[in-house]
Amino acid sequence: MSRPAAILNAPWDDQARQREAMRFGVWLFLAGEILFFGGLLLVYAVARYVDPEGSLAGARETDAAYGFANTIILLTSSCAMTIAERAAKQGLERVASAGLWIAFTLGAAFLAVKGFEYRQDLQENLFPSGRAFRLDQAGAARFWAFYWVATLVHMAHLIAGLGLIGRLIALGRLERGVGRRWMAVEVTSFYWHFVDAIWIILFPLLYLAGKGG
Amino acid sequence: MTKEQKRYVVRAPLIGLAALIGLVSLSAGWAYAPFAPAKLEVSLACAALMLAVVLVVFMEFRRAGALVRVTALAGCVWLSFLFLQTLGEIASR
Repeated sequence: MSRPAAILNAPWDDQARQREAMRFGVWLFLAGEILFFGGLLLVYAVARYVDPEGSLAGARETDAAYGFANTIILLTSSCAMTIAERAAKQGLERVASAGLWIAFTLGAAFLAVKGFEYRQDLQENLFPSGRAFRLDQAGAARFWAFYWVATLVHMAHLIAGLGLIGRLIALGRLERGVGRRWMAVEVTSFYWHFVDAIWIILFPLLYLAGKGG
Repeated sequence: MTKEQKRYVVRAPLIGLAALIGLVSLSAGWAYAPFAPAKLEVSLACAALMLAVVLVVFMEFRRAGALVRVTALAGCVWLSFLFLQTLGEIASR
């Protein structure tokens, strides 16, 4: 299975070196992101260790239906991105374009579902600030502080990912396909899978903890 | 699209997606099952397996070069230091 000739950017003068540099660069970034999200997850672990009952009382209030729906949406989006990446590497322009559009649309659908969920959370006074917050345990407030920070930071990463996929879609329209940009599709795909991986970790911690009695 | 391309481009990612949906359904089902034991452990084990599927099937990590492997490993090693030192300090209070 041969790959189309990729566009070379300065200072690279051959495809192999450019690809190695791009993969190294994105993984270096992702390693930093692992540490960033790791710090956040550590906050969750400590909060749960310090006050397990309060933490679980907070977790019982999340709506797992929204979380589950968004997990399926994001996993499917990641699958579409993989198909786009592999199709771009094979020069299958129409499949690559369809994969990018599906990944983008599902990413936008994730944001829409999260918006509905945030509205419900706010209507139910689950923002841990002031007297309006309806849970009285300190651990529950810590859980909800983690919920808002983690999901908003994740959402910021997802919006950045949508921008990167949107850029590829725009380039694909201008250049009649993304086959020559397959390296850019590959590193964008890595980033998108990372956003998916973070959600895979957040889902059980935020939506499944404390459920089912 | 040749048969080989169809398998690599479409079928393999769809099989990965099916595995991921199966694992997340298991995780959610177990969490809601009344009196099911080790709920946190099962949900985290499912999450770990899902991460492995994403890494192996979607990101093709097995094909990564030595530089990429060392970079990813370095991130995980530093993360383990962060967790071990913090949780060790809290547990020993």
